[in-house]
Amino acid sequence: MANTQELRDRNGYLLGRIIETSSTRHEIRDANGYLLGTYNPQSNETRDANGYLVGRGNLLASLLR
Amino acid sequence: MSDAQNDPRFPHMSEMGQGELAVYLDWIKGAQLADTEYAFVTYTMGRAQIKDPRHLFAIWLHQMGASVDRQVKSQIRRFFMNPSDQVSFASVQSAGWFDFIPWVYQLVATVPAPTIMPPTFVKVGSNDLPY
Repeated sequence: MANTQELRDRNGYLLGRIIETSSTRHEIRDANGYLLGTYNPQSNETRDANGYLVGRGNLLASLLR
Repeated sequence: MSDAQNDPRFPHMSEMGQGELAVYLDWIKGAQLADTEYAFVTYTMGRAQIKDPRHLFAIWLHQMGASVDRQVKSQIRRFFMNPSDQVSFASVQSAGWFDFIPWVYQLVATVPAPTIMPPTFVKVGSNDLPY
């Protein structure tokens, strides 16, 4: 089962979710479930929803807005 | 154990990034700031003595090379130019940004800050206005 983590602002408003769909794919989705980007821990790369490289390392949090 | 070693981001970055995380955590604690996008961008600019977030964005662009997608560019421009003080940065999902800081130190002197030309206007007299 996928491990899901909710991201909320200081007021408790849901901003999005991180879903670990597999050991090689962590997804960030907005509060409506729209895919914003993915992180691959094996390649250590973050990509946007279209697969374009955002950078090295886990940078998913900056794709939230 | 230090604050940094207890931080969830700590195992997910290089040794240099871990050093930056330790300094960052000390700084936000001392400044009584929340651990947010805003604090991180402010910290990075302060550490690298960068005055304009556009310079930080230019460094990121340079580090990424020529082929950066337009939408990704727009997203990361937003991150640097308009960082949120609501979105928490204290999660594994921001660990990679601490490994970006050493790149900033390395490139700050060679990647020029963008030149912003203020608009100039010619003063128009009332006689010059169209009828």
